[in-house]
Amino acid sequence: MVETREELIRQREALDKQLAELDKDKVRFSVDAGIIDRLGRELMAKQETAVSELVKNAYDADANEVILQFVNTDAVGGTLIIEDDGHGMDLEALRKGFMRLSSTDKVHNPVSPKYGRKRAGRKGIGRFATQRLGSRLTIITQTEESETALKVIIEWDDYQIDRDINLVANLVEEIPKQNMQGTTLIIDNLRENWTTAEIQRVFRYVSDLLQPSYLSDRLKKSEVVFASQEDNSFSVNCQRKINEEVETISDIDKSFFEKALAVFEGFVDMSGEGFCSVTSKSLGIDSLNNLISISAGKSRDKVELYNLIKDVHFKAYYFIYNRPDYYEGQGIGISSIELKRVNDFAQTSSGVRLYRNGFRVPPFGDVGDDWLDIDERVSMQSHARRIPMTNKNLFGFVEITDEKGHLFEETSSREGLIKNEAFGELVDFLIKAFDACRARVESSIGFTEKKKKREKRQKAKRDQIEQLKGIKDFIDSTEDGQSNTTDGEEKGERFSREEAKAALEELEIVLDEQMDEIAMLRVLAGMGLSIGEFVHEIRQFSPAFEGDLLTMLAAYAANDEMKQGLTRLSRNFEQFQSYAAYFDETIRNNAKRELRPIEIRDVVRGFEDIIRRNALKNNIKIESNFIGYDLYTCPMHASEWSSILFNFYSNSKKAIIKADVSGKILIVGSEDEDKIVLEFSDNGIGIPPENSERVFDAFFTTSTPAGRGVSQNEELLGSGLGLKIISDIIESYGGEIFVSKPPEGYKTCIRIELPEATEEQIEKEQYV
Amino acid sequence: MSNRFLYIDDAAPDIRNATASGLSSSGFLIVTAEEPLAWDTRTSRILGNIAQIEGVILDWRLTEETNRTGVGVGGTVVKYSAEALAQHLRFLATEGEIKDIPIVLCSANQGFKEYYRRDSTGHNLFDEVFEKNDFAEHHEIVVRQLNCLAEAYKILQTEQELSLESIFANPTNIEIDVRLAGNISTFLGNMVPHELIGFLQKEIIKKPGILINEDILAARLGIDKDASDEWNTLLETVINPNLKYEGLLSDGWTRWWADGLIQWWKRDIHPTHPQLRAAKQRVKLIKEKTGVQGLVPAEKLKFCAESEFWTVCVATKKPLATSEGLRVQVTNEQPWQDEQYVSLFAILERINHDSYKLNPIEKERLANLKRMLKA
Repeated sequence: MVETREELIRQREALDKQLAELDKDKVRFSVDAGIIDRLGRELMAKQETAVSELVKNAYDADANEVILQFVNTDAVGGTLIIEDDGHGMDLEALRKGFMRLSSTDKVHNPVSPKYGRKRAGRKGIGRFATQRLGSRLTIITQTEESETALKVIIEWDDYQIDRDINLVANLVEEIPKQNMQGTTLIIDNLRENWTTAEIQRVFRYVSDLLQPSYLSDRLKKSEVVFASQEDNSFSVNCQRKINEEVETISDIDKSFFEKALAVFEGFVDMSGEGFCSVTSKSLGIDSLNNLISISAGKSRDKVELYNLIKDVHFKAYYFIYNRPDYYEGQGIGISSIELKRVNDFAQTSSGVRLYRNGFRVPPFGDVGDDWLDIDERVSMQSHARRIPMTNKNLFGFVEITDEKGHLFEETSSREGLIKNEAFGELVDFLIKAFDACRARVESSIGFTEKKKKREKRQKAKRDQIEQLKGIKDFIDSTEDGQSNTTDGEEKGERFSREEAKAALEELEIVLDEQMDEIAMLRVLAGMGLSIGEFVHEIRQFSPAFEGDLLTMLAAYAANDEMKQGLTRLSRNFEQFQSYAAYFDETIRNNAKRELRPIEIRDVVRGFEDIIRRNALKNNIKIESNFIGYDLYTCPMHASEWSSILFNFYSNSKKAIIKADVSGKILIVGSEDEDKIVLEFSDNGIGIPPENSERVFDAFFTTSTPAGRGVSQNEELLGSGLGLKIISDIIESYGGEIFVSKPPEGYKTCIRIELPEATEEQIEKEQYV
Repeated sequence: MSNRFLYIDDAAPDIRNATASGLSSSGFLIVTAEEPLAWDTRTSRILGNIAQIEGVILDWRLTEETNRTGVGVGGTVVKYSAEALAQHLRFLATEGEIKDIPIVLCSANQGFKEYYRRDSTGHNLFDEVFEKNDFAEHHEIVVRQLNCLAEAYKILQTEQELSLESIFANPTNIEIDVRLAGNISTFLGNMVPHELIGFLQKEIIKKPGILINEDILAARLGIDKDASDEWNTLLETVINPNLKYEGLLSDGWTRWWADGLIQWWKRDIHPTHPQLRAAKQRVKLIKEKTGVQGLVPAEKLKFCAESEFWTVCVATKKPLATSEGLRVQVTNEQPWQDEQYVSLFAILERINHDSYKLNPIEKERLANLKRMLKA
C-alpha cells in the first residue's frame, strides 16, 4: 500500500509517542531546526571564515583545484559558486556525511583516501558556513564511479525555529553528470554584497589558509601530508563575474619577503627546549651557531623546558620601513620605492599568523589582532624609535602540529583557539623569542651604525667641532650677502652649501645616537640614585634588627628551636648586611667624585668578600690571584670597579647556570709592560667566537627575554647594556676590554687592560 | 653592676628602642632610648635626670632626620650635633655642676670609625666610639666596656685616696715611667674624671708601650696563639697571675705589663732578654719551664727573615720583628710608647691598607725593598 509522505510523518509521530510512553523513565534530546542558524550565521561572524571552511572541505575531499566564482555580487542577492574536483559524494555519503550534523567521518578517517592529506575539518559543521553566506544552497555532486550526479537544494529559510529539524526535507534529484567528479556548491541569495576589495581580501585569506611552504621542512618528513602552499596538487582560483564578464582575481606576489631586513626563526624541539635565531645579510648576522635559548621559566639564568608544547616552528620576515640604509650591508638592498610598497602591503597583511596542522587559525595575526602583545609591548621600550617592532614590521608564520587535536583546540566558531595552558606556553615562547630577535637586531644595527659612522668620520677626517665651525662660517658668509660659489681660494676654508648640509646631517645622526644613549643612561642614573637612597635607609635599620634579635635570643635562650631559628635569621641578616654595606661603600666612594689610583687587589678582594656567600649558594668557587705588586691603575672611581666586577660576576653566574656545571671563577691581576691587566674567567657556557666582539655592543644580550608583563626595570637589567657601559668606562681611561683566551679549565675570559698609575700617583696614595 | 645608660638617637622610636633593647638584653646593662629633642629641653632633661643615669650613648648624627625631612622624628627640629651636646655635658662636669659620666659615640654609618679617626676635634669628648654593628657582633665586650667605664667614673668621683698606685694597681716590681707618673699626678691634683680616663684610654690602653695587648703578648712569647690549644691555659695559669694589668679600666680592656713580661721571663724562664731569641727557642723554653705543652711557635710572615718577634704588624696582627717592620704614622707619640710597624707583606698585599699610614721616613726603605724583590 502506498501512503503519502504526510501520512508516514503522522505515523512516525504516533510511534514516537508510543515509544516515549513505553520508557517513561528515559528522556531524549531532540533538535530544533533553529540550530542551523546557530551553527551558521551566528557562529561564523566573518565572510572569509565561512568561505575558508568550504575551501577546507574541498581540500579534505582530495580536490586538486577549487574555483571560487562570485557572480553578480556587486549587490546583495548575488551568487557564489564553489566548485571542486574532489571525490564527490554518493547518496550514502550525502546522507550520512553532508546531511548529518556533527558527522564523525573525518574523526574516523582523519586522513584523506587519495592523497593522504591530513584533514582539516573535524567538527562536521563547516558546511553550515553556506548558511552564513546565502539563503539557498544547491549542491551538485558526483563521484568518479557514478553514472549521474546528485542535486540537492536546501532552502535555509525553511529551517525556522520551533520546527523539528527532522521535519525539514530536502529533495534529492538525479541529474546528468556535470563534471568527472567533485562537488559544486551554489550559494544563492547572498546576504551581503561583495566589492572587489572584499573579494580580494577573502581570496587572499583563502590563499593564506594553507601554511606557507617556507616555514619548515619538517612537514615533508611526516607520513601524513599536511596542507601547505607548496603542495602543487591543490590550488584555489578566484573569478568575479558581472553580467557574464569574467575577471580573474590574482594573489599578491610575496617574493619581496626575500628582501627582508632580517628573518627570525625559532622552534621548540621535541624535548620542549626553545630556540630562536636571526639571519640577516644586511646586518651581517649569520644564524649558524647563533641560537638563542628561550627558557620557559621566568628566571634569566636557567633554561627551563616547555612542558606541553613540542615541535613548534615559526618564521618571520622583519622590515623597518623608513630606513633603507639599514639594508645596505652585504644584503641585496632594497629601494625606497620597494620598501614603500611593502609598507603599503603591510597595512592589510602583516602580523604573525598561526597555522595549526597546516591550516591558518584566524584571527591570529589578522590586522588589528595583537595576540602576542607586540604592539602593546613596544610602547614600553625606549628603543622603539630606532628599532621599531610592531605587527606592521612583521610577516610571521607560526606552525603548530597537533594531530589528535588535544593540545590546541579550535573553538567552534573557527576563530581562535581555546586559551588553555598549551596556548599560554606557545604565546610565552613566541613573545620571548621575538624579544630576543629584536634585541639581536638592535645590537647589530648599533654595531653597523657605529661602524658606518666611524668610516664616515674617518673619510671626512674632521671632527664635529670642525664641522660646526664650517657650518657657522657658511652661515656667516651667507649673512654677509656673499654668494658661496665655489671660488677657488675660498673653497679650502669654507663649506659649500652641500658640504654644510652634509655636515649637518652627519651631526644629526651623531646627536640622535647620543640622545638614545643619554635617555638610557638617565634611566640608569635614576635607578642608581634610588638604590643609593635605599641602601642608606636600609643601613639605619640594621642596629634595630640586631637589637631585637639579641633581645629575642636572650628571651628564648632555653628554647632550642627558637634559638636555632633566630641564629639562622641572624646569619642571613649578616649576609644581607654585607650586601648593603658593599653598595653603601660603593655609593660613598662615588659621592667623593675623587679619582684615585686603584690597586686592583683592593677592589677584587672587597668584591670577593661580599660575593662569596652568594657564590657559595650558587655552587661557584671564586679564586683570585695576583702577579706582581703595586698593581695600581690610573686614577679611577672605586665605584667603577664595583660596576665592572659585579657585571662580570652576574654574566659568569648566568653562563655557569646555563652550563649546569660546578662553577668556578678565576680573577687574575697582573701587569703587562705599562698596563695593569685584570682577567676574569669562568667555566660557564662560553662565548662563541662570532659574538666575542659583539658582547660589548649596546643591547646585545644572550639572556632569555623575561617574558610578557615584566616591569621596565627587569627589561633594563637584561638589556645587554652592562658590558657596553663597562667597555665605555674602560675606554674612557684609554684602556681596552676584550674577550681573551681562557686559561685551562675555563670557558670564557674577559680581559681588561688599563694604563698603570705613575710613580707620583702611587706615592701620594701610600703616604698622604 | 647593671649601669643605666641613656641612648639618644634621632632614628624612629621603633629603631632606637630595638637598639636599646638589644644592648639591655643580657641584663648587665639598662639602656633607655630617647629622641634628641630641642637643645634646651634635652639639656635640662639630662640635668634633671642625671642621678638616674651612669652614662650616655650618643648617635653620631642627631640631625640626620631633621636634615632629611625638615623635622625630627619626635616633631622637634634638631639643630645641634652629638659633639656639641657632649661638649656641654663635659663643661658642666668640669664646672662641678653635674656628676661626670661616660659619653660614648656610635653610628650605623659605614666608615664612621675611619671618618672619626681622621677628624680629631671630637677625640677628647668621647670615651669610646662604636659602630652600631658592634652592639650585636661584639655584644659582650661592648657591654663590659660600657659598664667598666661607668664604674671607673664612679671610682674617680667617690674614692678619696686616689694615687698613682690605686689607678694602675701595679705590682711592686713594676715601676711607672717617671714622665707618665708626672702626667698622672697632674690629673690627680685637679680631678676631672673624663680627662684622666681619656688620657688613659688614648695614651696607655690603646697604644702599646707600658701595657701590651694579647697580640703583642703572644708575639713577645713567640707563640701563635690561634694555633695553640693551650694558649688560654698558659694565660690563666702562668701569665695572668704574674703580669696582667688590674688597674683602672682593666675590666673593659685586657692588657699586660710589658715590663712585667721581661721580668717574669728573666726570673722564671731564662735570664737573657726574650727578644734575643727566635720564636721556636722561646716556645721550647716556655714549655720546659711551665709544663704547658700545647703551644705552637709563630711563623714568619712572607718576605720576613727573622723570628725574633717583638711586635705585631698593625695590618695583619701577626708577629713581626721590629727590625723587619716598617714604621707607621702615630699621632701624638709619647716617650713611653712603642713604635708601631707594618710588614712588607701587608703593604704589598694591601691588607687592611686603610687602617694605617706609612711613616714617610720609610719611603726610601720601601722603595729599596721593592727593588730588591723585583731583582
